[in-house]
Amino acid sequence: MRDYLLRRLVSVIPVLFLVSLMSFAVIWIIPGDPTAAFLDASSTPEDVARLREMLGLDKPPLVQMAEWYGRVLTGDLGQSILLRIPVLSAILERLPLTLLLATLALILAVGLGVAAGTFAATRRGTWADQSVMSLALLGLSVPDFWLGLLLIVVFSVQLGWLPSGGYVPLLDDPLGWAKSMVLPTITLAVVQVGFIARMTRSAMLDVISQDFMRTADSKGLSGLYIILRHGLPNAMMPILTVTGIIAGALLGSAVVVEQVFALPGVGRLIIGGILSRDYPIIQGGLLFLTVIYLLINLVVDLLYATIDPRVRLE
Amino acid sequence: MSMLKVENLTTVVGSGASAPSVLEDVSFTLDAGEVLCVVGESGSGKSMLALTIMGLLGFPVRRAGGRIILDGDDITAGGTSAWRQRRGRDLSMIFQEPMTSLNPIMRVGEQIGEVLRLRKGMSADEARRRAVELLERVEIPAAASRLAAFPHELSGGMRQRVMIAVALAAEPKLLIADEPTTALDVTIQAQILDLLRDIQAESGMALMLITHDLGVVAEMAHKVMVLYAGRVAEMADVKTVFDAPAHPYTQALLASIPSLDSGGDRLVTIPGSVPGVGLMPKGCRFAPRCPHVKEACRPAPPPLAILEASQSVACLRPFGYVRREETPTHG
Repeated sequence: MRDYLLRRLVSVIPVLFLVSLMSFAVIWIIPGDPTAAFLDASSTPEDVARLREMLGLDKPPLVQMAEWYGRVLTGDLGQSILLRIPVLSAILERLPLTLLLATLALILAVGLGVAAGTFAATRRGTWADQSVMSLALLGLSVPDFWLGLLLIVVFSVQLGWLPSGGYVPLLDDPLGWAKSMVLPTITLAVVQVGFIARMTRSAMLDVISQDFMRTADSKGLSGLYIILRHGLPNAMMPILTVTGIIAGALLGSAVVVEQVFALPGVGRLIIGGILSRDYPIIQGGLLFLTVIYLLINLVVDLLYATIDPRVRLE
Repeated sequence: MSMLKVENLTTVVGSGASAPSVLEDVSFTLDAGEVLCVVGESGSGKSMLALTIMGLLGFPVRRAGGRIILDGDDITAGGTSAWRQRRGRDLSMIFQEPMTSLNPIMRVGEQIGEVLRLRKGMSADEARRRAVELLERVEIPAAASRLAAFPHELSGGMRQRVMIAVALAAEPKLLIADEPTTALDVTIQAQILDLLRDIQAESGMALMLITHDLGVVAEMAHKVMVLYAGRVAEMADVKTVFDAPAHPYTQALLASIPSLDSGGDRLVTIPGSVPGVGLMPKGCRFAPRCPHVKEACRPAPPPLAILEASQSVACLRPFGYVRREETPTHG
C-alpha cells in the first residue's frame, strides 16, 4: 500500500509541471495584446512599457517561463492588475466558498445519485426503474445557469423562501448562511445527480449479475444487506471514477453558478479576471483549480486501493 | 419419512401458462446421510434443479409448480422470505466456479463469518474462532492466517475449499454441490471430492451432487438421478444404474464413457443434442435421439414408473432391445 501511494504521488509531478506550463501559456493563447485592455487613448508609450514590464512581457519567453516556475514554486502568483493585491491572497480569500459549494454539491450528488441508481438497478425493468432513470436523464439535460435562474424565479421571486443570491458568512448568521447555500448547491448538483445515478445503475446491474451475489443470496442474507455489503462496494470503482471527474466538473460549473447567485468565490474571481483581462488572476486561478482537480483524483486513486485490494498489486 | 421430498417440481422461463419449461414434473426423495448424484448432458436442467430447490432462480426463470418438503415442511409455501430463512441454515450450495463465487473485495474470514454472525447469531469472536475451525476442517493450511486473505490470493482449489467452508458454516441439512470440481484440475478434483465425502459422512447431511462425470458418480453416489431435457429419465441406486440401466439415455451415457480397452476406436457419442427450451417434443423428450423409439413414445411423455424397489424409469420400453447381459458395464 505504501509503494502504491508513493508511485501515485510521483506520477502527479509531471502533470503538475505541464499544468503550470499551460497556465503560464494562457497569456499567449488568449488572442489580442495583453496590455490593450488596460490602456486607453490617453496612454503614452511609457505606460505601455511600464505595464509590459510589470507583466514581465519585455523579457524573452524562456526567461519569462523560468521566472514563472520560480515564482510558482515559491508560492508567488503575481499581483492582480485590477485588484492591486497579490493573486494568491485574492484566491485564498475566495477559495473556501467555492470549495464549500463544490463539496456540498458533491455530497448531495453522490448521496442522491448512488441511492437512486442502486434503487433503479434493483428494480430493473419496472416502472420505478424507468421513472428514476427518466428523472436522471432530465437532470442531466438541464443547463445549470438556466436551472439556477428557474430556481430563483420560483423560490426567491414567487415564493420568497430563499434569497436570490449573495453570501452570508456562516459565523454572522448560520440560518442565513444555510439559506444562501441551498439554491446554488441544488443548481450545481442536479446535473451530477443524473450522471451518477446512471453510472451507479449500470455498475450495479453489472455486479448484481455476478456469481458472488448469488453466493451471498445462497447464504440466506437479506436483500438489502446483500446490496449494501456485497453489491455496492463492488460497484464503487466506476462510481468513484465518475465522482473524481464530477468533482472537477463541479469546480468548473461553480464558475457559472457563482455568477448566477452572486457568490464571491474563485469562479467569480476568474470570470472577472477574464472579462477585464487580468492575466495574473486568470493564470493563478487556473493553476489553483487544476491542482485541486489533481489532488481530488489522487484521493480517488487512493480510495480505489482501499476498496479493492487487487488494485494495489498493479 | 424422507428428509427431502420433491414433488412434481416444474420450472419455466417467462410468464403465462405456455411458458416453456426447463424442468418438468421432477419428483424424488432424499434421506439424511444420503448422496444423490444428478447427471445429464448440458442443458438437461441439472443446475436449474439445484437453483429451484435453493430458491435462487432469477427472473425470468421461475418455479411454476410442485412442492419441496424439507423435514415435513413445504418450503415453497411461505414465500420468498421464509425460503430465504432456509438458505444458509437448512440449505447450502457450492457453485461450479470457485474463481467468481467469492466476493473479490471481502476477506475470506468475513465471507465465512457473516453467515455465522448474521444467520447463527454468533458474536464476532465466536465467529472468528468457528471460521478458523471451518477452514481447518476443509484442510486449508495455516487456517488462522488465511482469515485475512482475499480470494485473489488463493488458488482455485483453495477458493473452492473456502466455498465449502462457507456452505458448511450453517451446518445445513442439505448441501447442493453444482459441479464443484469442473473448473479445477484433476488432482485437485479428487481432493475436493474426498473432502466433500468425508464431511458428508461425518455430518450426516444429505448431499445432492450435480455432475456430468460418471466416474464421480461411481465414487460418490448412493442414488443417481438421470435428467434429460428437464425430465427425470431414470432414478436408481448407484449399483443398478451401472449394472442394469433401464433408460436408453442412461445406457447411451454409460456407453459414451471412454474405456482403456477401446484403444484407438472412435469415441462413442449420442447422436443429436438436447432439444432447446421451448422446442421440446410432445412425447418422450429423448424420442428423437432414441435408438428404440416406437410410435407409442411420441404422443405423450412416459410417466416415471417403478421397475423395482430401487429403480424407476420414464420409458415405455425399458432396456430397449439391449438385453441385460449386453448392457455396457462400468469399470
